[in-house]
Amino acid sequence: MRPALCLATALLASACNDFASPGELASPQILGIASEPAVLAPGQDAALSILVADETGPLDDLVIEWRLVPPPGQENRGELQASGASATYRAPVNIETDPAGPVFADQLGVAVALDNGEFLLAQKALLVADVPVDNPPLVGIEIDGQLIQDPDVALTTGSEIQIDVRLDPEPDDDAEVRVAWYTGIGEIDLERRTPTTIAVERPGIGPIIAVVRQDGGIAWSIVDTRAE
Amino acid sequence: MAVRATLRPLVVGLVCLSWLGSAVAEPVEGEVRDSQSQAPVPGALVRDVGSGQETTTDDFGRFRFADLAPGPREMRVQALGYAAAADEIEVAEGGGATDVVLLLVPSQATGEIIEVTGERARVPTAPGRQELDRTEIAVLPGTRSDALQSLKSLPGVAAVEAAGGGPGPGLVIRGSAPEDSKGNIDGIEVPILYHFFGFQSVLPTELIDGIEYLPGGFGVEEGRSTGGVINVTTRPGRATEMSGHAEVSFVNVSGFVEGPIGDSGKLHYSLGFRRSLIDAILPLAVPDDSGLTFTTAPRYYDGQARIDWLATERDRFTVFAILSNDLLTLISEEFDPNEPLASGKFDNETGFYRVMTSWVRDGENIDGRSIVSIGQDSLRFEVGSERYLRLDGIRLETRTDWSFAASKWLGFRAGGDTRLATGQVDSLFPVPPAEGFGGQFNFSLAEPVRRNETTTDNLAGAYVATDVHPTEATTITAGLRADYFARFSSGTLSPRVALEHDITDRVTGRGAIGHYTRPANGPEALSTDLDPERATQYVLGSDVRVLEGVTASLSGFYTDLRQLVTQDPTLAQMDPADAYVNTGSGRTFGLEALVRVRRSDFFGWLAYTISRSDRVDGPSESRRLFDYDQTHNIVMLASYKLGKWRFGGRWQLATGIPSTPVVGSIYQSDLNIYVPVLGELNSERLPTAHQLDVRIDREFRFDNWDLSVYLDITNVYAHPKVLAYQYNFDFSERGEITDLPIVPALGVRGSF
Repeated sequence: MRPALCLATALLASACNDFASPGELASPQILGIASEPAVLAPGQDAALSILVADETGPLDDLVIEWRLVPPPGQENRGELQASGASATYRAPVNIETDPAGPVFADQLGVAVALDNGEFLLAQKALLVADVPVDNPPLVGIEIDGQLIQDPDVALTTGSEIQIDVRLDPEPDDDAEVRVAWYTGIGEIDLERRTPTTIAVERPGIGPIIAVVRQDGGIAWSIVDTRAE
Repeated sequence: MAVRATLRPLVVGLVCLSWLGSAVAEPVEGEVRDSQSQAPVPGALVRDVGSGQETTTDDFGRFRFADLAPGPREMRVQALGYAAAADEIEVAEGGGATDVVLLLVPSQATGEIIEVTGERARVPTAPGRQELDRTEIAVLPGTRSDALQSLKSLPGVAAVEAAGGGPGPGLVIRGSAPEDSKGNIDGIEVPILYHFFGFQSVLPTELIDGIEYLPGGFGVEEGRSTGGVINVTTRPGRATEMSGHAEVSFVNVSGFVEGPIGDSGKLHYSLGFRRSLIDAILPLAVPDDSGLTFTTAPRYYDGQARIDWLATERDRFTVFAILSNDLLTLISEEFDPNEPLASGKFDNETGFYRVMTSWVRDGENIDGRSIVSIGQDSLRFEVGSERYLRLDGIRLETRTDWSFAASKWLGFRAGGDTRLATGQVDSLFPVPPAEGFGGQFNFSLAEPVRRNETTTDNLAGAYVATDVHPTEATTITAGLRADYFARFSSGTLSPRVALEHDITDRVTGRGAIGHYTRPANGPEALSTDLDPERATQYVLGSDVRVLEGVTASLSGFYTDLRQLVTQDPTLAQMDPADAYVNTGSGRTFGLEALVRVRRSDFFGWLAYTISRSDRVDGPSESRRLFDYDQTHNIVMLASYKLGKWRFGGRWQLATGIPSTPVVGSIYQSDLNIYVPVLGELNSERLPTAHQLDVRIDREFRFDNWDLSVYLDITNVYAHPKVLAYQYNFDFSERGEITDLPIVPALGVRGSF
């Protein structure tokens, strides 16, 4: 029963703490690691990319170390070639696939060096199947029902905007699509729901970022906003 | 006689009797007082041996028999914390005896071992054993008049809130896990002694005759515990006239009534009921912007019913029923990004009932008890929208304990217990981590185990013991207990030896060595291939009667723990349902000191415990601190009666329990959660905690009823006690989860 007590305590505590939420981007964060395609065929190459951002938007010119880090008791099976902010992974040729779904091939480890000397660490599973799987077909972000195509969007401080993601094609009703929202311009009502709203709280420049996960794949979209 | 007398020394002191027998045709009435302080002794059991009638003194120590035949009559008196007493009074023709005064000698003050009736060999007292007097614990500061809360002021009991709620009494006793100890009500084990993880006990103080605290070194009559045992004894209703009370406090509303059934004087009853009020108060205290909604705020109720039949002068039959239910449903709008499956909803309901039928025999040379109990336990957790755990079980239990006094120098005891239990498990729930996991269990990441099955948990135990009294000053007990756990197809033998020796008139030395076992319980019990956990306890202590009403005791203990259930980390990943293994070991050792004062209108104690408890989780693992290790624990407590007022205070200082630091985190991109990187297990501690509780009581006496009012304030100077740490989403910031800063409780009670 003790874990249940801890859960109840944690639930009470989460409702009473003053910590910044991840959606506020109060400090640099890794928001996602993508493999293109999301699930590889045996022997196929995939481009790896990473999204790191803070309240000002995505961070570039980062020192990133890519590695394959095998789980305890396993060995690396694919190959990794890394160069700066990008990397390429080649799936193993001789791997037993499963018609029921993707199988685990390797575990990717990423270390991002920040200017303050600290590191951000992240992991991602690299999956293999007979037929490759693409990342979610994310078209972009909608604000108040309009798909945003301009790189720079003006908002009014004190206003509340509705945000949503557009996927094309639209996912089936029973598809499990998970969306995470991030912004540096205000407070997101429900960071892990879509659609949701942002209360634009302060003037300035900041991003609205949507990260979409579906069937082992990931995609993100970024809108730069200017609150006046 | 209470059955306790068959299990440990019967202590009888001096009884003084005075009566003014001038009133003709008046009932027999009088008062029981403390021989030292002359203070009235409430809750004392007064029995007229000839008729079998008995009654219990009221809050002012008064008792009354409606109709006793004239002539010499043997009266027996018992009260917790006092030597049992017996003497003869004279009831005049016409049936009158008033202003009878019976004096009881505090047992701690005398230490004398004298038989009430017959000649029996005494049983050594386990070092560290304590009895709590109901009259004292009803007014202890910081307890909100809740008797079982007083256990937390005793030496050897860690000041740990989070331990409550597990199987057993929910207390960390001498460095043992909460589930290592067990709680009995009238000899039958109950799943919980406290509502809501330790908030309030499941029995009202009025129904409790006494609480026996056995931190270790106890005899073979108690099994299935490698830690301590809490024996709660309920009391019979008053035999002579109906009485009762109603009480309202911030915590709960309660009612209690007791009295005779018919005019025979042989049947009596007591009824109690309580319901929480915190569910009405707590939502008002939660800020609107907290994001937290109580669908059902913490709500509990419990009820008790007891009927006693004095079949003969020496035989009592009792039916006692107890019912308890806790319910908490809360919904949080806040989303924990690292615990998506644990976010949103928490729903917990815990309940049990027991119906116990017992026969207690108080014979010349053979006495004892036999109990048959039937009951049901139920437990339900629903967390988020996808995880649930539902347990329902019924159990039939028996227990019997008998003693035979062959002579003043030799006695024998034997007994046993059985349990037939079957239950239904329906769950989609992760296997909880074993103790020593490090405190960062991720509920959402853990693979859930689906179960929908019927389980059985049958067991049996039996014991024999002999008590030898080779000299006036020495008592030796040797016993052997056998337990069989059918679910695990395993049995254990537990030999135990205890020695007690009166070194001088004022100093008594005690020692005990014993082997103890307990089966896997809680979630561990869903596995069937675990061996019982085992412990060997070594206890040495002494009691010193310093002055009249002042005693001091010192106990040292060492416990060697083996075959502890731990969780294999590899199996936890591959086969979580069978990840528990018996590879753990450990030890606990320490010293306990207690100075206790009972003087006129004053009582109090100073308790200090220094201890260490550590564990080794497997053959290749290093030694680490136990999750609830607490190095120092000091309790100072005093209560002073001044006229109709009583003032009390309690101060406690305790070392913080171990904590495992988080030194970093790794972002899991596929799941969008952070997993902490832990430092050395239990390598730091929560801050030392201290708090002051105060209490003021005021009595008002009217012709036919009494009124009492109390104000009990916990943590007066609002020192924030850190219960645990919480972290932000990426574990880069740490905050403290603290206990409530200050808790005032105002209670009003009317008694008739």
